[in-house]
Amino acid sequence: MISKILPLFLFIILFCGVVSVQAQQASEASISMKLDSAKFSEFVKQVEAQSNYYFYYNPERFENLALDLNVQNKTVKEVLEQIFKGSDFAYSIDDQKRIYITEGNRILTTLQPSLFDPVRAADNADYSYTNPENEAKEKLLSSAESKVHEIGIRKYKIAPGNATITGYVRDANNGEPVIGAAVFIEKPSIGASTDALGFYSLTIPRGKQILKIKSFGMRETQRQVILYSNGKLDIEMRESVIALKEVKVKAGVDKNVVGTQMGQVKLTIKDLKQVPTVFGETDLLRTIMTMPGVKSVGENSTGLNVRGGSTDQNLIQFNEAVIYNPSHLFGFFSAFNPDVVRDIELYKSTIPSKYGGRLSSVLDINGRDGNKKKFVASGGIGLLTGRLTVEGPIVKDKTSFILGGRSTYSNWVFRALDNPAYNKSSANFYDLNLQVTHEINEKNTLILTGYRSSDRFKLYGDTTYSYNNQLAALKWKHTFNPKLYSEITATHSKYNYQMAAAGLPLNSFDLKFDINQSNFKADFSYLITPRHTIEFGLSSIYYKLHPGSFQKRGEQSLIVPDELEPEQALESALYIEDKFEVSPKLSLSLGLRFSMFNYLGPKTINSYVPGLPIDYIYQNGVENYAQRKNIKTYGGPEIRASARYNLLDNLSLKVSYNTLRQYIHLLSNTMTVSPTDIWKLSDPFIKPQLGDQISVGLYRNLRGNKIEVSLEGYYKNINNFLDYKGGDSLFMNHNIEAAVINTKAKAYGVELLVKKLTGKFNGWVSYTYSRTMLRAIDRESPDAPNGGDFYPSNYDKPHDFTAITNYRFSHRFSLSLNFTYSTGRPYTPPVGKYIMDGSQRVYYAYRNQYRIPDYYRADVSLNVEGNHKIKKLAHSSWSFSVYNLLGRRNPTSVYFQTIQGRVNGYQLSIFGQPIPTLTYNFRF
Amino acid sequence: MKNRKYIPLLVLLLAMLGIQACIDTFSPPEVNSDEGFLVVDGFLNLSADTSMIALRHSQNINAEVNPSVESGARLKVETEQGESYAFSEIGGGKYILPPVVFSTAQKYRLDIVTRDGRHYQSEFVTAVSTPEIDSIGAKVDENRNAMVFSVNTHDNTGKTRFYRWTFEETYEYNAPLYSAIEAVGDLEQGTREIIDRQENIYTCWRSGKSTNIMLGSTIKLSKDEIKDLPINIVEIGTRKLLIRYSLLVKQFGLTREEFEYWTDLSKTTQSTGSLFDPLPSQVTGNIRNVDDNKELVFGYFGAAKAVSKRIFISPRLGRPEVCLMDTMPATVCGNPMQECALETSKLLVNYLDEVSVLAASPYCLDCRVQGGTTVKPSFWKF
Repeated sequence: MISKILPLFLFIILFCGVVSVQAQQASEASISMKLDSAKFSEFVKQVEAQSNYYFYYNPERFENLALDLNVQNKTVKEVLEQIFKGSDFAYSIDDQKRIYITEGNRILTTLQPSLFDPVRAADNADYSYTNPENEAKEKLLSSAESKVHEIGIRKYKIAPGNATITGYVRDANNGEPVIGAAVFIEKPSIGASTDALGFYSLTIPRGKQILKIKSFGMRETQRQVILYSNGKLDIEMRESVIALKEVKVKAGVDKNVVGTQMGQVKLTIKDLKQVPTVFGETDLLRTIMTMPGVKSVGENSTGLNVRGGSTDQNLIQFNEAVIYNPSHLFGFFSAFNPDVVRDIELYKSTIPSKYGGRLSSVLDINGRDGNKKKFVASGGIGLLTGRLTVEGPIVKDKTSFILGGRSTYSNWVFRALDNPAYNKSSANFYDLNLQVTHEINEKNTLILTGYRSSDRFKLYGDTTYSYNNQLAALKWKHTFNPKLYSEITATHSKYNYQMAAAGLPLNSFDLKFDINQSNFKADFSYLITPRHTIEFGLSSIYYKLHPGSFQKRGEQSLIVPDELEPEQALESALYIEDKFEVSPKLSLSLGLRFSMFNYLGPKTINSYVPGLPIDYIYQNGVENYAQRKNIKTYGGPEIRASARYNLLDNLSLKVSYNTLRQYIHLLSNTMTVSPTDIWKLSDPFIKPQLGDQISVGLYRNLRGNKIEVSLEGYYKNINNFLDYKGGDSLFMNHNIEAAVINTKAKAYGVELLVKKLTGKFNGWVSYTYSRTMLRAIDRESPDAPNGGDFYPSNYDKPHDFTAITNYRFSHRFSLSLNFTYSTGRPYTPPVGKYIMDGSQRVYYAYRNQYRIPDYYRADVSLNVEGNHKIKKLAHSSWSFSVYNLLGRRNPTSVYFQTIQGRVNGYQLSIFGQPIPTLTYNFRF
Repeated sequence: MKNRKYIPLLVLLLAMLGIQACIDTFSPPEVNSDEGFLVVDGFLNLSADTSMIALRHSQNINAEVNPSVESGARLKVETEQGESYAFSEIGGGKYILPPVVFSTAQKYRLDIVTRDGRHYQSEFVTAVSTPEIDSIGAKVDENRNAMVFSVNTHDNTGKTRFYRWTFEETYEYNAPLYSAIEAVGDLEQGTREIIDRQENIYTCWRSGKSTNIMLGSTIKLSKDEIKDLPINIVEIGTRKLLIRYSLLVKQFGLTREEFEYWTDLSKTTQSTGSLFDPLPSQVTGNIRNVDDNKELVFGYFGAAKAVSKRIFISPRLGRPEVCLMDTMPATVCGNPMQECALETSKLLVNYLDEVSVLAASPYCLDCRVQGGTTVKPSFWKF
């Protein structure tokens, strides 16, 4: 309202002309107030409340002004004088106690004296009267881009030095914060990126600057600013019209070179969607595997082996809550619905101090906020799965929700198969996501996440396998002030599996396992100066595991019910991390995390004859511990240090050293992760896994940050990694400690990544050379594999090359081509055979001394977007892909079996022919 | 044992996804590291029967010949009390011990001294008694289109707990066609003539031994009882069930250690390599070289009673094979376009008329071609 009135006033003043300002006499009413970084509107409100003055001003103009004021019993005029002294603002007060605040020219509240009295025309010399330069410019001024934003309190003379602009970058469409947007100036090159709330803080030289804001999938924008002193500027960005809703942001353009982070990969859902997958569905974990240093044992597995670590050494979290089994259908699909994911971040060498508990990596999956402005439904139909996501505001601009579901409908395929064995079989899975985001106010945001994934298979009508992941997370993001920011998170995760066998009535059973963890953490980030940030916090996890329950199923069953005692433990940690930019060339990040693990009662612990191997034959009794009794404590400091040194303008060298501890282990003696693998907590026998890693890297951005090149080398040690004695069963084992061997691992490698994520032609190429070797800690033990010497791990594939390319022909058509090559996985061949009880049997060489044939595969996918009319019922897109275009029969495994008394060798290829898929995606 | 279930599951999942997983043969690398390690195959039979132990050597994986045997060794079984029973060699690396009444309260070990003086010993093993087999079930499973044989047993004392079975199947079968006549004599000398068949080659008996390791345990059950545990599956398409089929099941009680040995052996040689199976590991047994602990020796010496039970069934399942016959002149030879009965390498079925005979391939007429013998086994009482 007021802003509309102002031009009218100007018009009256400028055309009619007014002369004297001296005439007016301010009322002598006095006011008192104390303001701290307040908005001008707050000041106006208070003055209006304490007096009968009324303000006329352009609020847009004052938006960026932060006001510090402390006055006692001053007149309004004195206060105004104090505020605007030395600034370019002017005020005038008319006799009706109306205050007009203007820039430059002050408003004359009385008429031009010469208007009616030509004698006094000379008085006019004090003022000049001008017309607006042109109407067009006036109009442009209303648009944020061309408008000159003045930040801070305007001074006639701009003092040299720096000032800080802070504010939020938001999506103009739905009000969602734009995370990771780069806010920068070009001369000199200074930039910052927005945090999880879309908040940025940029310290640049005072004066006139052009602030550029870039974010992936958003239309690039800029703000012209004149920076006088510290102030605030909120920026709204619009998404690029061609992009679908899901498209989000990427990390700061020069983060690769400027940050101290190493071994960090961030992929947005857009990057993920370009990569063709076997069933046409965007697959987070599989795409992550195309990054250097990330491998898996086989094509069917989504178990990640990061830099030589095992699959249980990855902290996989969805909105900060841990997911224990991130796959569907035994690893064919990853259990994340691409429609509700914003981005994923993988840390493989510099693991931030706020994360701990796993040795190899942190995979952080961030859910997307629902649309705050309008309701949107989107989904996709593939050959095997369908998904649907609904999102929208609960309270417009404040609270939003997103609800996504995904399920397979392949069961009918089973029923249709003309095979009685298959008819009785079934396989189902689904996952559900809910995220509610509530912005209480600018400083407080609450995020509630719920997730459930479920898998169920039935085989030949008698054995049913099922497993579920569930989690709930509540996060409170709070900004104390522009310098101190906190995130407080409470989560609960549960993973359970069940197996029900009903094949033989006498032996029918139900087998159950579950793991629960409740987690509380508080993370703080304190910006001491723009060059110096301290992060600190604490976390605590309470584990409760039911390692196994084996029960009768049916009346006839003779199964003796057996139950392994529950396990419980508390894992706590405190950390502090200091990020310090010593000079423009050198920055340091030093972190210390102290973690502690308490294995708690009630629990019965086996005891063994001292001095003899831990084996069930040497068990000499048990020891009972009462409820809450601390049975065993482990703990220690973990160091997280990294440094970056700029060698040249855009070439930097980074070094990092990390130590980590892991107190929970996945017990598996199979090649790939199977859902029935058991999680086990460290106990008096099973020590925590310890890892340390040193890495060195060179980073360079080419062609104006369009191409990122990085070369990283690492060397890593892992201690107390668990391996299994040949053949021992892990199933309902009351002496599980006797079935495992402590192993140490060493891993080293070099990773080269060239990435171009912008432009018509984009993608990445990576090459990795890496080795992972294992060795029993007790080299003399008869159970030590390979006579106690180092041997390659199952996922030791020295050479690995991946190219992901995408070419956008037009806004509607894009073509992706992938190529991947890797050395064949090691396997253990049989070296001899003998006859035992009438059949040939084989015996094996030392573990993993031979390799299966090399792996290579090419995939192609064509994406067709619907037309780009902004207003239409539904946006749709088609995606056609062919996986394994060359149809190469890449062996996933080789094995040797005695069949009909003879030894035969076989190789199994899972996707041994080209697999075409068509997927339809929609949004309305 | 649980893991083996994943193989069909995996194939099934892939089938569901419309994908046929490909399994191709794979030739293992040429690894010539075999040093001919000693293989000890056999056990101490406690059921007043002859015990036999065979000593052989291991071979290279690609070796085609029969393994070499260890002959001239001295074998004996010792008790903890120091009693000793010597085996005698019967040739071919086989050593036997005549029936002795052994106590099941004793512990036994095997002691071997080879001809070149290497000394091997097993650990002392507990003798295990084996309960009788209660019954052997035979039921048609229509889903699999097969006959499933299962075993039932129980031990009221609850001491046995661990079991292993082997079986020997024998079935009677006929050639597809009955041969009533045959050509005998020498063609060159003009003595070749067609006569009535002297020897019956229509009905045969064929036997086969189990090749898989079959194990069962009741350790997780409240009663030591095995019920309907499938041990042999005979597909109807194999034509083994056309006339009469017999199954001899042998049952052995095991100690926990021996059960684990057989479990490991079966895991590493019968179900490795697929995706969810355990990784192969070295399975050797309980026999060591006394002087060199690290030398590989294969085999597990156990002391057990072996019990057996035989069943006969005549389910008449499956369809007989059909063979086509040729017609040819019986004695008019010499036509290059037309083979005669005296010349042909085929076998003769019967006269069609006075001048021509019916003939078919040996496979169709001689049941022995399929691997059986025309000698009726002694236990075949029909």
